[in-house]
Amino acid sequence: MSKRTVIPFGPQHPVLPEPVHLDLVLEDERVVNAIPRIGYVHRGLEKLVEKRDYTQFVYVTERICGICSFGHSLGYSQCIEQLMGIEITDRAEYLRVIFHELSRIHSHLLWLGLLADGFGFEALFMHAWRLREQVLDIFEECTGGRVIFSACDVGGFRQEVSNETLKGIVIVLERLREEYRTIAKTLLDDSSVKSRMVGVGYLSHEQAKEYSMVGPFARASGLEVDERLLGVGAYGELSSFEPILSDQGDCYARCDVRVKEVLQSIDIINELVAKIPEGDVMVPVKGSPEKDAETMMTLEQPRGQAFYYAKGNGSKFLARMRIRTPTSQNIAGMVAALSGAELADVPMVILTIDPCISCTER
Amino acid sequence: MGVFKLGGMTLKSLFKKAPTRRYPYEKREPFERTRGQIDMIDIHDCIFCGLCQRKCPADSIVVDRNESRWEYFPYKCVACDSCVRSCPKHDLKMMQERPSITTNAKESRVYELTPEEKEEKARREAEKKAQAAAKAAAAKAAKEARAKEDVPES
Ligand code: SF4
Ligand code: SF4
Repeated sequence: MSKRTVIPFGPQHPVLPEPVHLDLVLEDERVVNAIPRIGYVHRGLEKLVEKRDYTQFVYVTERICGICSFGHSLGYSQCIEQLMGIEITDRAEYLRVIFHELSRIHSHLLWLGLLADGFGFEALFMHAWRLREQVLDIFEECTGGRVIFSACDVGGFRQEVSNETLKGIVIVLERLREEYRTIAKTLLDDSSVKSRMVGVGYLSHEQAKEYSMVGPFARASGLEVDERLLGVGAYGELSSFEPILSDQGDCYARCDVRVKEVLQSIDIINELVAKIPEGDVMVPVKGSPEKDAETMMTLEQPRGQAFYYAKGNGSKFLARMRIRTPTSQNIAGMVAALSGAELADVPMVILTIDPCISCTER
Repeated sequence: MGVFKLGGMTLKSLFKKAPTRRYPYEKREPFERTRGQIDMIDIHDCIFCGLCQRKCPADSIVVDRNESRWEYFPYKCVACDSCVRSCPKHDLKMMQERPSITTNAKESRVYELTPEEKEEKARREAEKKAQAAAKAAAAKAAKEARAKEDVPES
């Protein structure tokens, strides 16, 4: 038997801007085990509920992660609304879902760029991020923020977005769809991309089930998990929704699922913009959560299911706010996908899993 | 080869306007809703109620009621807009310009009333108080008088 070596991967590593920290146990060039280390960017955000009241905490949840910022504020707001029995208007529900899907597009385009960059495919990286910039412009125009929108709040959606602006968004997205198809096809049809990704980082359907995996990572192994299927909010108004699945379970399948999800998100936005009802976007919020009232909420983030739990304590401050993010659920799967991979393939496996470390460590 | 498949798009970009900008020299027009930092519109309208301070999630506003002083820390501010929404006098506004680069992140902007204005305000408040006290005393006297009148009748 050859000697085992431990090689640290991260916290600073060129393939991922986030501080992913793994200790890779190698046997020759093959990874036999990966030991994740969590806590490098821990910021103690959950503890902050003691210092910020429930209306201020929405800004804290937004800052859990820069990429899923809208999703976190949405999940938190829905959770508090459920806790206090607030019913928001239909228009606000639609706007929330439209912006949530837009942030999925922006997240997946960011991922596509990083993946291409990890390959050394600079041109594709530039094009993916050029497209992403158009989505960021939509955000800034509608909400005033590029990454942190402060748009979703307990009680609805803060900014009114006119129907004309929404139609403009659809036009931008339709243009984006064409260009996006070209770059996605370039990536997925490329022979060198295929030879690096097909069969690498394999995770079977059974393993995905056993580790309770979530998000595109699980769907690429054929596991049908998608919180959007529950139809919370305006997702229930969609005429049909089928999660995108693949049964290959390797790096290539994960890319394929994510690439198709962008197109699916564009379809969802088109449908909702066509159907959006008129009305107010914000309802006034008064009072505070009752003592010992508890509730939970789940939400499909770009990376998978996020879970929110809140407990009131009778005052403006919550007793507890717990958030479980998709990547913390997927760590076991990531370790499983890494074991058996070649050392040179590790960056690819990690990039296709698209972990969000700031979310995980909060 | 992928590079050649992307060739069309890359060639097109050669002749199009560059999607990037030479940033510090060439700045983009901000959008109408862009949130940069907040500013006080008119300190004379502020009633120093401190609502903006209480709503701020970043502790970037300090209001001193006794000193009639309103202080704002632009480098702490996260431009969330909640102070602007909560001000009962609509005396705060969101500006599109972001705070400029600094070496002193503790820098703050202070608005306060001049000493004369403070005196004037104190005088007016004292007057108001005196008036209110006089009114209350008169009301009390009237009530007592009525009570006295009522007693013999019953
Ligand atoms: S909320 Fe408005 S009136 Fe009250 S202290 Fe702040 S700026 Fe002044
Ligand atoms: S914009 Fe937000 S962070 Fe800035 S001062 Fe107002 S409330 Fe505080």
